[in-house]
Amino acid sequence: MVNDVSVQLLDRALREAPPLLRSEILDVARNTSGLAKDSFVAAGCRRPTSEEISVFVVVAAIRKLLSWINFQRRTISAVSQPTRDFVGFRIGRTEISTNAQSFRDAQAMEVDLRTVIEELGLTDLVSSATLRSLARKVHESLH
Amino acid sequence: MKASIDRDSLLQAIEGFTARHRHALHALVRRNSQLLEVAALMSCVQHYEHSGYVVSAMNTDPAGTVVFKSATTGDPRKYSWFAVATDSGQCFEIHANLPVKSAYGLDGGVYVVDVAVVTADAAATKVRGRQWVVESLSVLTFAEVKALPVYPMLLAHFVGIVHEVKPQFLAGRVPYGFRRDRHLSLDPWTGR
Repeated sequence: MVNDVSVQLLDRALREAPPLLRSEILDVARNTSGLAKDSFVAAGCRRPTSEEISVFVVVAAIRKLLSWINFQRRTISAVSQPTRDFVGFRIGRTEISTNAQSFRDAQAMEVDLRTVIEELGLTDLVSSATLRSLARKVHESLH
Repeated sequence: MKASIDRDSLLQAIEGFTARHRHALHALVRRNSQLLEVAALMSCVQHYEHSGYVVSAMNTDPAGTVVFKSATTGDPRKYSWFAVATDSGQCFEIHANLPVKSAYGLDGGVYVVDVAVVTADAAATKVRGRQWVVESLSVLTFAEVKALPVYPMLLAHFVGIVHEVKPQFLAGRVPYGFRRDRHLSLDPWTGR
């Protein structure tokens, strides 16, 4: 069962995001929504409420957003370590190094998103290794 | 006190976050595919470093920056690459987006692999316009990356590239010394 309401609300919440990022996050949300029922059943919750499924889907979307930003921050970090015999990468006119504005932006976004996640009480949920584990934590959080 | 979790507050948080970082997110998306290729190259560099080789950036610009080849065309020697050496001397090189001639060689096929590990004496020759190629015999191993969820056609695409560039790998045969030298490999049957 696809929880279209959550996906539609997410679509609206992401209207300021770039189209590619928005579309990837919505794909994750749709797929997660499709797997929601089975994930909750596997986690021991036979009848998840619509609120549980909504939170499950939206947390998966937040995880996807965090993984995009974290990937960029870690990759830029890896290419400009002080022990290397080069200072960074250049792709055309784009500089990729820890001295570049893009790195500071990625770092600031990750800090901000992690703060938001913490304030919302999602730190444990976002660190779930599997959808089943996420379903179990969502079920426990809402009861 | 445990924070109460509800869908609407999560959605509001997402909306607020994307509005606050609107410009930075657009820039992030623009460079994501390039960073994926950079990450693949650096993973390859780290693989050989962890295997005991000394890896050095070559042909960097005067500021010491690696000039990354992101285009499928152009002379690979005009960009940076990594030299991989043992204590006894230089052994091979790692290049990004290297055009490789098909192993069959007579069909004019050119396959640009995301990361190529080639012999140190690999020569790139100009075939037409801005298109340069390296012979597949010079390629020791290679890596391809995609930012997509795995699906059957994608795996077929990967297998197809191996079939065109290093077909002998599909039969599970690798050149003498390949495993000893700890080259990048993925056994198609065991996935290791």
